[in-house]
This record gives sequence, structure tokens and C-alpha cells, in this order.
Amino acid sequence: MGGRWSIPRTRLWRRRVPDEGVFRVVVVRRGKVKPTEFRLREGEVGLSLFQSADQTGPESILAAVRAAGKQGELDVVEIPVSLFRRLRLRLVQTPGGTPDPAVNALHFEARPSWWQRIILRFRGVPIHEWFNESITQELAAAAKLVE
Amino acid sequence: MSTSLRTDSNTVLAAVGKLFDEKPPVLVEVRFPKMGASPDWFLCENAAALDVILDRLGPGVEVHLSSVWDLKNPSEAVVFRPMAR
Repeated sequence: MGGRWSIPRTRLWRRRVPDEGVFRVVVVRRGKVKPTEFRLREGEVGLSLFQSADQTGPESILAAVRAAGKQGELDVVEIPVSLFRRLRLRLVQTPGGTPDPAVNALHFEARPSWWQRIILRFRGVPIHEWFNESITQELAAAAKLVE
Repeated sequence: MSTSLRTDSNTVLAAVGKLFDEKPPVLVEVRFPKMGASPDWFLCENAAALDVILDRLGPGVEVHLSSVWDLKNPSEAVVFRPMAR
């Protein structure tokens, strides 16, 4: 890898994705979070997540999801960004769908890389099937409830 | 799944009514697209029970209804976005 690539690529990565962790709202059952909280449904191309900001933390994210009507004993988990790098998932910023515009501005999706999608298409494997079989358990194991 | 989103409220009402009349109970999946959360699941015996669920929903959610007798036949599923109340 040539030196001319190292600085620009690092800068681009830092601009596009959060530095430390990303957040997802989960249902907690008997103090535990099940892997089903990290599955994709058919038609989805990435797992919906949120970044945190100074004025819009996990509490705001949780409130926004509750306002949309999500039921149950809800809490927020944090997943380290380093895990997505290790799993070769891209964190892509897209508009969120909650009733809170401030929270929506912090929305990301964890998607397979362009190359991975080509491979999956070639093999005839839907993205959600690959994600649920290869990624879900890793995310569930790494997710930590936010204190 | 080969279901399509129904947007006309009369069509939705008719399809939901038919589902409850002909093939109850109905499995209700409430999806929260781009909201960083997994779907909620409910089993409804009648339309009144569905109405209670819909009353609590905010904008942007997506509701998928399937008869428990037709879970492997997704073409019969009803998908819609509830209107804000």
C-alpha cells in the first residue's frame, strides 16, 4: 500500500463513521438481549443503528423509538465500531425514520461491502440470509447495554 | 416475500377485514424501518385487537399481517403504513 493512500483514506473513514460505538434499541428479556435483535428482515440491506452526539445521546434515541410505538422493556446497546471493521461491514450514513429529526440525523446502516454484495448476488444468496447467518451472532455477542 | 405495500386505505381495510373474517388468527409484525430497532410481534384474533396495536403507533412504521395458516404463502400477506391518528 503506497504512502499516498494512507492519509486520505484515514481521513475519509473518520469523516464518514463514528469513532467509538454505535447504538441500537433492543428489548431486554430477563436482563438479556437476544440475537434476534440484530437480524435483518427480507428486503433490508443493512442493520439500522445510531451514532451518539453531545445533545442527542442514547436517552434521546430510546425516546424517539418509543415515540414510534416500539413496545416492551426497551434499552440501548452499544457496539464498537472496530467490530464492523473486522466483519468488513461498511457504516453508511442514511436518514433515520423516527419521529425525532435530531435522532434521524445520526442514523447509520451497517451494510456488506460492495464486493461482498457482488459475491452474494453471484451465489444467489439474499443479503438478509447472509447477514443473519454470518453477522448477527457476532453483533449480539459484542453488544453491551448502555449504563 | 412478494408482498407489496398497500397505500389506499379502502383497499387496506378490505384486505384486513378479509384476513380476519376468513383466516384468523393473524400474526402482526410491526416494523420500524431505519429506527435502529427490531420488529414487534403480536397475535390477533380479531380486528379490534389490531386496532389497539395501531392506536399506539407513530409515523413511519410498517405493519405486516399474515394469517397463521398462510405463513408460507406470503402473497396473501397485507402490508401497509398506518395513518397518523
